[in-house]
Amino acid sequence: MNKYLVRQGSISVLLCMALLLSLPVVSAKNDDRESAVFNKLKFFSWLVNDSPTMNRVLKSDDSEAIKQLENSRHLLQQAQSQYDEGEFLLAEENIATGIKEMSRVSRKIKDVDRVEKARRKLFQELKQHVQTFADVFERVAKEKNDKQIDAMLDHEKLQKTLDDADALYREGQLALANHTMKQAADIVEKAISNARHKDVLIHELSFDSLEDEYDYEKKRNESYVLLISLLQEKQTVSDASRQYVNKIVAANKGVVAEAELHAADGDNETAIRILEKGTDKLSRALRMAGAPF
Amino acid sequence: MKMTIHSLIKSGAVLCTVFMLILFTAGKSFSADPNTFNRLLAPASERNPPPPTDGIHDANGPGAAALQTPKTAFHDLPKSKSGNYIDWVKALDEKKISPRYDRLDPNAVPVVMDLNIVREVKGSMPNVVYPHKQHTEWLDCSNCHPAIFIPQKGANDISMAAILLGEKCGVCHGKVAFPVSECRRCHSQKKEKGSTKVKQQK
Repeated sequence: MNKYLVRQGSISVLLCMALLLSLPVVSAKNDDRESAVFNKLKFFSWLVNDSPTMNRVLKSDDSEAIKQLENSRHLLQQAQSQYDEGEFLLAEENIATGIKEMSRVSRKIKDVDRVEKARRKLFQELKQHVQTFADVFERVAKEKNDKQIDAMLDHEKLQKTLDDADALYREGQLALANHTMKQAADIVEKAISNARHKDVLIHELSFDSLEDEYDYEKKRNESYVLLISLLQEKQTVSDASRQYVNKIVAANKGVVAEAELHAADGDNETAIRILEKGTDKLSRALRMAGAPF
Repeated sequence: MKMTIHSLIKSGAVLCTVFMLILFTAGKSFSADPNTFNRLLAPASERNPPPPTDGIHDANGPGAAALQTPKTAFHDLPKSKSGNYIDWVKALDEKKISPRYDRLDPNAVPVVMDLNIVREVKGSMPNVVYPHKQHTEWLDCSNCHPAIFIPQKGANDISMAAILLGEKCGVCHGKVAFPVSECRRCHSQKKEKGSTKVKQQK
């Protein structure tokens, strides 16, 4: 009898626990679904009541498009009632149908003004781009002082393409104007690419003054501190390493303050040396923090 | 009495097992909350999940289940240590992918420029080598010039601090390209002995 009671009791407790534990999971999933449908409903409501698409459709003379908008609004009302009644799946279906309908309407009643504005802006940007790169080519050609390099850019072809693009722009053929301007950009980019083929440009580390060098050193020190904090978030290191790193970073604040004092007194050379030593210590901390160098 | 205690222990063990099973199956192994920091830094077995479960696509959308899963698509591609763990530059070099360069023209080819820029840096860090070739295979000149980098020697003040704050190289690196924690990928030119000091001052 006792054995039977214990067994029955255990089974009951087991079942109760399973039920209790699964409830939060089920209700969490329901919450997710409700929240997702709520957001979609909000978006759909904006689409049919407040969006630029809605405004375009109402301003247009297209009766079919207006009818499609009304259909979408009707679907919104249905979805709203279904959501209020907790029928999330049905609400979601109506929202999906409604959004597809609005997509069709949006493609039908195009936003001509916006497209024209975007095309005009792109044209000006491309034109500026071509001009900048033409200047870059001239600089490269002057630097190399080589007739073969000069010949890499067909100036006549470039000018003709630019003129054609401008003419198309004035005529209002904006898509074609942009396409032609891109061809002009390609001409000048190819020329630079050929002129610089296999080149290696070296930016030597030299400073005009000690103030410049001190600025550089300050930025370098700051960079190391930022890198250390980034690595500490990403890498897993031992507690001892972490403590060592934090100690160095804390000590660095004093180093920077000391360097600032010297710099303020006009002694940039000493300030640079102090910061260099501080940055060297930070590079050790960087390795401890997990930097692979 | 003995039998009762024995049964109790057995029941307790069963209870614990069931409890653990429910705990493991009830939750996801990484956070589904889109606002959690590093939400996508999942362990290797859970990287690149399929669209319905990646927390980005609408799981109930009709297209989500039709999309090819990343694991299938990325299976043969060379691996890397960050992002979606594919070395896309290598994939292009090895011709494992052939992306389209122009939306309207399937035959368009990119203007690739093979120009390296070496920036000397102070201290023991190797110098930075910036290769135009690998960048121009993916980007147009106008993506960077002149808005991010002025195309003129000496005109750009680049520092790690700026990059970490999302400027200059940091516009892409750390967001859509490999992060700045992979130092050697940029700092790749070893210095000659005795050249760690500044060369000259004007």
